[in-house]
Amino acid sequence: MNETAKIISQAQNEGRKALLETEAKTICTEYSIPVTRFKLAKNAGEAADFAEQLGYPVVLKIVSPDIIHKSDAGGVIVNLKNKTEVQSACVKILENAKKYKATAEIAGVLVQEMAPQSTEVIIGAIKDPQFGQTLMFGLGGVFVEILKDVTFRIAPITREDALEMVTGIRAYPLLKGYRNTPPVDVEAIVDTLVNTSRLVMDNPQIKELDLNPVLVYEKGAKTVDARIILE
Amino acid sequence: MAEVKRLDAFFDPCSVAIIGATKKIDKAGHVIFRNFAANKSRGIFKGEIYPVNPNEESILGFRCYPSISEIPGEVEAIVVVVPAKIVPLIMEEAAAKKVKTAIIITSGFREVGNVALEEQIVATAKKAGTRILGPNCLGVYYSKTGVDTLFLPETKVLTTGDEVIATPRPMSGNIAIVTQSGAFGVAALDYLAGRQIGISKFVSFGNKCDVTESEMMHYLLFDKETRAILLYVEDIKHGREFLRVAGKVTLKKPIVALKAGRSAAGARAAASHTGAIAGADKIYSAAFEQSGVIRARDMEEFFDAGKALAMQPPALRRNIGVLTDAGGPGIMAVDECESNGLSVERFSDETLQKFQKLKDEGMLPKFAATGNPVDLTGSVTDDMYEVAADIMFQDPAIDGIILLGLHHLPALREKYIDSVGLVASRYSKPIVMCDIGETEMALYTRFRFDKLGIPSYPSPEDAARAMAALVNYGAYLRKNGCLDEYISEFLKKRNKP
Repeated sequence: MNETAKIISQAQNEGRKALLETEAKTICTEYSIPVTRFKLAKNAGEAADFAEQLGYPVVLKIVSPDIIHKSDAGGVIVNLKNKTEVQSACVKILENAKKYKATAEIAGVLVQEMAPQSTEVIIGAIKDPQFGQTLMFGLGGVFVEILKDVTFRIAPITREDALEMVTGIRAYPLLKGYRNTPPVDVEAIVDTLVNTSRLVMDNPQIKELDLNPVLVYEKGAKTVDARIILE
Repeated sequence: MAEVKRLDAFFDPCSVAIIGATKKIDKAGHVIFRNFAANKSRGIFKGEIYPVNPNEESILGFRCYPSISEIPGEVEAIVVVVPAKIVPLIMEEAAAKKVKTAIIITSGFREVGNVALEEQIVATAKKAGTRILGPNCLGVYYSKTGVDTLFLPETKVLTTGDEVIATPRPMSGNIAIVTQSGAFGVAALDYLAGRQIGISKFVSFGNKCDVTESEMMHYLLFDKETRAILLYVEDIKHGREFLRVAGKVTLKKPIVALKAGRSAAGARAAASHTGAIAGADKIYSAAFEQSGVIRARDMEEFFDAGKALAMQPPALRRNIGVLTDAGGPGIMAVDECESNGLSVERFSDETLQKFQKLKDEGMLPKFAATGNPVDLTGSVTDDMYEVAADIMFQDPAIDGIILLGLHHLPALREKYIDSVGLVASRYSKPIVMCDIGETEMALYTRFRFDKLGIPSYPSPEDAARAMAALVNYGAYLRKNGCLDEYISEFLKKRNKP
């Protein structure tokens, strides 16, 4: 039935504020937000099997309610090209997690298709104390972190609002294509913004949400990492 | 609609009691009562006025009452100027007397942490249906009915004995001021009075324990005299309500907002990127943009945009014509247009030919630039402005005109002001003007233009930003499909004397 409501109430029952990446991505999928294909493996053998099914290269990520900053914990290894690499990476990630936090509860290791490089954007949502659910859009990396080149709209938003968010950033010309870089699929970004709006409006328990990065291609987009924080 | 009507008693009460009226002339309770008494004796305030103070027999010839309950007959409105701890008792008495509105000037409530005290008066008022403005506010000024709860005396006497205007009350006009800060509110009154810009209503709402900025904006939507609303806020309590109301009001009347506290990046626990980047201020900007509220970057722009929107129709699109008699300031105006997203494109061939014809006929100087900007040069005369402005208005690609009328040139007098005014009144496109200078001729020129409803500014940049406000508001109305209707309504009101 409604997978999102189930995931949220389960997390609340367990006293967890940060959803697991697998949970966040499952919610995204339910709201037609495209995410990289993934499976949750319990051990190195399972990880290798899943990698075979997904196709190489893959990314492995630790999934633990006690580890929010996965990279800091050595919990992310990218560009794994065969079964052997996947197996040894999985062992290493589990070891790193133990070293980072011995008591950390481990849900498993995420095996994820590795999306090809492209323009990175960030789509976010935050529950503002005055205005409620609010959406954010920006280009990924330095554009967001250093230049703060982002636009906001109070949810819910229309497609027109979403388009204004995309065209409203200073770096918009980069999305339209420049030199040898082709234009990206702005409609796919608009879809994702509108779906994210629907997601946070339907689920007022969501306090913060990050789709970061979302890779945008000439056709289509893919969310590589999703984070959802509950109130 | 009944709720809107109920707020009328703030602005036009049949009877008002000033709680805490006193004979001590430097006290707020004295100034406020004196305002009412003076306006009553001038025949402006037509209702009954009652001073309330248990320690006085009479004030300024009016019989003083020890409490509200002892006033014979109805009391529609009260103004409260007693210490905070007595206010709950006053509100009980007001409730028993079925008072409709209470303006509570008194401070010492939520703003200093006395939340319970404030909640107590709100609860009492709610039960009785009394509406509260404030506390911790200046209340209302409405020139037409003589309601003036500003405790700041209009004049001050200097040590030399000279009496000077200190807190002027602007004349009647079309701009409403709705302000959270009382101090900034009266500064605004001083500024507008000095520039001879009239206001429709002044409302300082302070702690907004009951009536909020949103409800006041909604009230002003139905106010016939108000054409534009200037809103000063530091925080907005019910964001969603604000969005809904502002979105409704801005389809009919422009709102210009000055939101202070830009640098304060709301303290948020940042577990996400979005949380870390989203300063409260950016979210306010988004909310304003979504609801069609024009956000002024600073005080100057706040007044400039308000004046432009009250006086001129919004622009259809964003291509502007610049008409000048001075090259440098013309370029400054073009630069500022472009930084604000307006374009200043070369005129169509048809328009260029019309200008060429005027040059050939000797109506314009041979060396006049006519590509846009139009530079009438140092040989400018009054007549040139009239014909040039007319040609520019006729060009369908021109959406608005910035006229720079620097008065220094020898053959230019003031005759052109009326003729440009007449030309402008035949078109539905906006025009703003600039003359630079702070001495007599500059002040006179700007004053005359303002009187004709053509907003004037002391710098080319100010004029360009004012035009940008007209363009951006036009774009918002167009997006919402009500630009044509707004313009036709606006012109109907403008052409009425």
